[in-house]
Amino acid sequence: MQRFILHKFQNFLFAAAFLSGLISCRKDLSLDQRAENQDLLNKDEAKEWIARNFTDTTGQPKKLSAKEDTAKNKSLDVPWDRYTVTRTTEGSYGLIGLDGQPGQYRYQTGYRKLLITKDHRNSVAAYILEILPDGLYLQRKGKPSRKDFYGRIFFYDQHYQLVKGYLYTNGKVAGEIQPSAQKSKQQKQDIRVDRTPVTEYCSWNEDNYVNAKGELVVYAERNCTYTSNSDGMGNAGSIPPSGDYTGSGGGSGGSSDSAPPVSDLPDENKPKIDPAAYMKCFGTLPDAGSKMTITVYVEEPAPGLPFNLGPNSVGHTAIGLTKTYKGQSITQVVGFYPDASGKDKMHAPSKILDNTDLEYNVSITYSVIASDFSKIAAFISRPPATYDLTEYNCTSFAYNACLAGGIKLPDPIGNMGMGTEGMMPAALGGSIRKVGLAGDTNVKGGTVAKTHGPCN
Amino acid sequence: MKKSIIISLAAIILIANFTPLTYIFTEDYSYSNYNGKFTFVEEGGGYDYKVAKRRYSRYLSDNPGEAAHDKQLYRTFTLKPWRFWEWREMVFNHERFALPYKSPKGVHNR
Repeated sequence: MQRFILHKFQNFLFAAAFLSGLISCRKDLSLDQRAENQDLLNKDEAKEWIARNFTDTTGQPKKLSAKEDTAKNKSLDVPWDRYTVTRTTEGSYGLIGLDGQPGQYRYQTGYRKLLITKDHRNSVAAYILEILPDGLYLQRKGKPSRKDFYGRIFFYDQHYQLVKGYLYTNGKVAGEIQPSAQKSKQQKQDIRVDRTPVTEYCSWNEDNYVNAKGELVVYAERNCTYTSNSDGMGNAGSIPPSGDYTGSGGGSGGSSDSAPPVSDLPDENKPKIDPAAYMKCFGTLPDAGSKMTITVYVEEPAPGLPFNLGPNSVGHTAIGLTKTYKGQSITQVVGFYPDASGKDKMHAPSKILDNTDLEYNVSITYSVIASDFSKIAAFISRPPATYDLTEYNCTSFAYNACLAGGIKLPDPIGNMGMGTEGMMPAALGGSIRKVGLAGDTNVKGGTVAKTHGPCN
Repeated sequence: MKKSIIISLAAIILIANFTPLTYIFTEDYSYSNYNGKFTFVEEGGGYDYKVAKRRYSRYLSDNPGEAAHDKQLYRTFTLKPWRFWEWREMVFNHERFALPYKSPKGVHNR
């Protein structure tokens, strides 16, 4: 009996020890969580801090909207519903997308965010960030991300004074930004990374942009280049301060939580294309097993008539390349133009344009082998540098491109007037009509479909 | 005397309008939508008003929001009726001149 009681008592002790262990573990866990949560900047805390610290000269909460109207805007205009918080090794930070779009060189491609940081010592700070992605990067990516960000981030204090900023290249800090103070000097110093000598060349250069309030901000930017025989630059771009300020969680134009849509970028609306980038697309399909064709499209000045001028002005000749592999097809149709206006069009540097939507009257198509196709693509990739209305025009270009691939087009030479002869769309169109059904021709006309566009 | 002046003027107008000279002297007509996000400049030789219309039509179908706001295509060049060498264009390709005008500056400041 006594043994039974002792056994029971032992079981009770084990159970008590296990339970107390479990409770203490849970207690430790909750203490850890509480410590972690203390670092985490919650929305209410951030809200309270901003209300307390972001005040204007009258002590009223500062308006953070794009256009300040001191008479009307007395309330804090932060869309707190967009608040997101992120934990970092130093603490945490909150981000809220703000309205207003900064811009540079006439293009409003930037966006704003309110950043509130809190470190392990419970020290809170806040900045208004103006994020200005590089135009070409934004055009390529569509949406900026921290990982490969190219551009600038400007940090403003609550009085909208520029405090600092960073220049990013491929997601790494490549330079710093400070308020302009005639910092236009070059510095050179030798620094060491491990045992490898690295020479650092830095220079401060002034630049400007228009912030979201519409003010011109002149700043000094420090760009550095490094020369080294090793890859000791690997850590040269640590990102201060850490955080994905560029991507999600931000705002734009007051309505979205992502970067603004790409618009009005430099050269976006310029039609001039890089023909090599267009021809590069054909490399995405294998030569073996592909069908390749060349089509020359002619818009005649006066359809069906030999005149060099008509309702379609002087007309046009374009060249199209198509490569088809197992149902997948790439077509590029381009034309040769003068890169000038007015009378300078007579003789000017050349440019290649995408001839999508060209309304042509006649066309002729040839099937070619891979090597000839490549020669034609190579010719188009490196077009003649000069356009001349009488000596080397759009028709000459298409004719010579075909010739590079061993194709001889129907006779494109006609009377240009004033006793001169030359290659003209009217003459080529007429010759294609004469070939008629003997070749793979289209004399009913049509419209050039949308081309594939460039490939990187 | 008067007759020879009239004949000379008529000859100049015809030459300016009905020879390839017109390609050189004709303005590069330009167009835009209401906010400047779509622009097109005629380059001559196939890159003309017909292409502008087709590309704008595609732009509108790709951007239905813009189409809902204002789908009108505007000309951003001013009418210059004294340019006798463009009279042929004004007669045979009148449509572009009938578009409502928007200043290029106004378009880009939006």
